[in-house]
Amino acid sequence: MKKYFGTMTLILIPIAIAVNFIGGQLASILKLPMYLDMIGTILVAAVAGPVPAMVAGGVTNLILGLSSPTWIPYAIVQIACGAVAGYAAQKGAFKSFKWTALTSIGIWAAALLTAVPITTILFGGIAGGGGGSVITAFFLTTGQGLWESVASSALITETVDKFLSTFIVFFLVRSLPVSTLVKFPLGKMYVKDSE
Amino acid sequence: MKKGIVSKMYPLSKLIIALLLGITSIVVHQWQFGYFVVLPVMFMLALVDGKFKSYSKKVLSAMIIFFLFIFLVQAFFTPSSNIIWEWKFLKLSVEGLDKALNLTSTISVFLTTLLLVFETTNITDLMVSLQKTGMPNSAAYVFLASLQMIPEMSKRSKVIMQAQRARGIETEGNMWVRTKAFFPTLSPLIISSITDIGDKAATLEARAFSSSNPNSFYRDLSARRIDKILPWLILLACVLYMVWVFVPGIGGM
Repeated sequence: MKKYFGTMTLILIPIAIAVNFIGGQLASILKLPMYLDMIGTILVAAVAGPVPAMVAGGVTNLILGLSSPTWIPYAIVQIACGAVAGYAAQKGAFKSFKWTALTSIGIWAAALLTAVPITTILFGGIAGGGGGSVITAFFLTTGQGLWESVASSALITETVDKFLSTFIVFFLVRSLPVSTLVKFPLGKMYVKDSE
Repeated sequence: MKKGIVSKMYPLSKLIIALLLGITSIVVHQWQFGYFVVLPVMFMLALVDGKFKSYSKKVLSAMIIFFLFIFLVQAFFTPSSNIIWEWKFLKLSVEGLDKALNLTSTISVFLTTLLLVFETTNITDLMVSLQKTGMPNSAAYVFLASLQMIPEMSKRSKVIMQAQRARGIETEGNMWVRTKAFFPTLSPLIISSITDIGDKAATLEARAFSSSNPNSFYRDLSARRIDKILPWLILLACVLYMVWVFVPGIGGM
């Protein structure tokens, strides 16, 4: 336990969870057709590695579940994406633009592979009645099967979302002051790079 | 304020009972269980507890549109030959209706029980009761600090957004303009929050946050006898119900 969670990391996690919330909130205030609710998770992954990122992601959805329990199963999506982003970060992926792009593909794939089965099996194809569900219903009326419809709908809503979130983190890590950055487990990696 | 009977219950017992009912509904796979047993009982408990208004508002707002969509998709798009009603491309089938009822019933069991637990429980009390059963206190910190952080940072994000608007950043217009407004709002918020972490760490350490000694609790919380017995009784009832459903000759399918 102590190995993964220094006090700095432990304090970062609640902030990341709040960032996940506010990212989603801002996206809906600005009427963007995206969730942007994973920026905090990916940020933790970049500076503290996979395990803290998985915790941040999982707890985000548990807290969302306090007011609408249907969010709780989607914790798996956040955990999977946190794991992928964290392992990539440990290998230094967030140091270069090219590897960040590849990481975002990994996160995107993890999100699709987990979210589509949850929506299809647990909720019969409907993810909380939001915009994605309208798209799913549209694909269904064109005669596609349930799995194809949910997958197509997820493809539309997730793709830009995950790429944008990952690159926001790429730039954020570069804007953090060095004095703060070095206190995190993976922080030193980015300092050397900038010099 | 006087506490209702549900609010008075030990938080962990409530949570366990909610999860037991949820698991039972998955196992027995009968939609009557959700709609005719759990749903009315939960509403009645909320009524007895004096939380009926806020509880029913939460449940209904979570369920109505969601269930409408599920019914639409399941009832009309499940391939089947048993068609009751047809209009253009919409075909209502028996199997589809059955599937939709089962699915929504299971979801409604989880939804109504968990919402009642969260509606009648102080989250701090829930964390204390979990800590007493051995959850590390850092886990409780993460959960509670997040709950505190969200409204705080949300308020700050609105201030930042207004400040950026005053500088001339457009928050309305086409999608590209709106997407561009996202970054100048979020990044100052994140960066300022993260630079504060060092101070917060020092504050926590000064109060023995990382100490490995056993914790003491400010909140006094203990399980009464009924809080210890009730989860077992519910478990027994659930098991009996499952036996009744699955063993042919008793009730059986």
